[in-house]
Amino acid sequence: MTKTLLYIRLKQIKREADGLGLYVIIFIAIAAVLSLVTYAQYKNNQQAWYIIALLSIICLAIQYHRKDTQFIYKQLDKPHFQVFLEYLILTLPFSITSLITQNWFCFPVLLMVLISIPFLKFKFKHRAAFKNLTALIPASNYEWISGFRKQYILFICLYLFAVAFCWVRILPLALLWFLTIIISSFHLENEPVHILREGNKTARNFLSAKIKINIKYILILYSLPVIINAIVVREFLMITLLFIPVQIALVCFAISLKYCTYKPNTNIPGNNVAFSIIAMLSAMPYFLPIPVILAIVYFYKAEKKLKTYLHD
Amino acid sequence: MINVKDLSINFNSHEVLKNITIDFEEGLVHGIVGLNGAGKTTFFNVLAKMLKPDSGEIIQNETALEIKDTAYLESSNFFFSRITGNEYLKIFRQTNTEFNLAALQEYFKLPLDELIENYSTGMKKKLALLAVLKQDKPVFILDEPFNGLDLETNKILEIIIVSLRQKQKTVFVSSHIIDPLLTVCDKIHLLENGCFVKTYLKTDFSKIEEDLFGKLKSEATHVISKAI
Repeated sequence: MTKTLLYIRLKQIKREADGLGLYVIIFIAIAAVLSLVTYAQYKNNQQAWYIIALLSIICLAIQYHRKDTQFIYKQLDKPHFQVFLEYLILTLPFSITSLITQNWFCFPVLLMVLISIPFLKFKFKHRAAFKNLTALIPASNYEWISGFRKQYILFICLYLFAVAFCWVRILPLALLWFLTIIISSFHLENEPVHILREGNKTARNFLSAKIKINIKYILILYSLPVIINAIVVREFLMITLLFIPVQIALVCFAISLKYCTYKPNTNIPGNNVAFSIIAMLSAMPYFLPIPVILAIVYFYKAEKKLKTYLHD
Repeated sequence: MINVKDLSINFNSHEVLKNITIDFEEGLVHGIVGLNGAGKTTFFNVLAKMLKPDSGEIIQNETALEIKDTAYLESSNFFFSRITGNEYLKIFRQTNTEFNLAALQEYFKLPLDELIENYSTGMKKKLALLAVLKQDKPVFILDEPFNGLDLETNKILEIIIVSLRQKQKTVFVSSHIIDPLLTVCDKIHLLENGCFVKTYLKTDFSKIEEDLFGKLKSEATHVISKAI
């Protein structure tokens, strides 16, 4: 069967879609908008090759990080073709429209890249970067240690660029907004119950402590670039002043969402999709209160859920 | 004494633990054996308050057994990605003042500065065990602790369990391999279809294998000899 992998993916997508509920409509809408945006770029921009480069990088990153290579390359029939098909379908909505534009050549170029990616097999042993991280971040903030090690290159780059360009309008805020999304992705792994119970806290105390430490880190990281930006770029003062509270609300929402759907010893990638949608809404002025409202609503839901496992 | 009274739990209308009533003496090592699906892990999860029973209670010295009273080594261990062994151990406060990591490391030989995802199954088990031993709790629950361990560490674990008993800790331990239980346990309790059906004292340990596998052996020998 040369479609086994696609069949498995279809099943996985269906399961995730069921879990997302109504959020799936927003997700489809975002994908449709992105497809239209890429089409507009192919049509109006002669330099649209960057879209192909971006799609290639995304597929390369997936190939680099995927954990199912052992299964695919050992168990499946024609594995290279199946992996190629997977990448082709993933990129199709954002590439096929180029065929009816002046940038028609982008599609065959992407095909060539996608054909070659399945032959790249990355096998490596992870190394512990920043071995003395606990000197800065206490071990009880294991989400930050784990998350930072996973994404430190992007994390440091985004932050340094935000600081370096803090005198420019909007750009540093956009970079820090991306950083918030990265920080929120730290909260996608569900710890075992015995870690949850360490410290003998009640559900409310546990959640409050998690939220407080995250607020502290965000304030430490964001204050400098945001304050300089507020002083230098006066015309967007209102946006700048609201920026940090909204970012705090987003991270609080991510933490509450995690514990609201808490199931010991599991990963919850589905939450990432829900979070991304809310994060995008937070970038639109009329939807600014949404992360704040959701952070409050989900805090109480998370508290209720954690009472089952904690000292309440 | 730890008294389990009328303990029942259902999953999707399937009764996994059926009205269990049993007393466990404190300061002893209690082995829990049973065939697959007998309810061993569910019993441990209820004991460690990971699951809420539908009915019944667990009492220790006339008060309900609390979360803070138990240290639990689960059968499969989950670790956050990209954290080192040292960082994992630092998550847990050291309440056991006698815990000496350096001394235990002489035998465990874990690369604590390396990321846990690079560890073997046995190494992960040892790390989880170290985290459990850091805690000073009256009750230790060890679900399948011998799984994935090498011969040498198996022996070390036996010594650890005996040491816990010497410190008057109550230890519950399960294993698919009977042999280590025969060495370390004071009593072994047979769990069958969600009920404790028999308790063996040290003098009766020789009967366990026959009681546990006797029926299976006679049936399977007949079927398998025809099937292959």
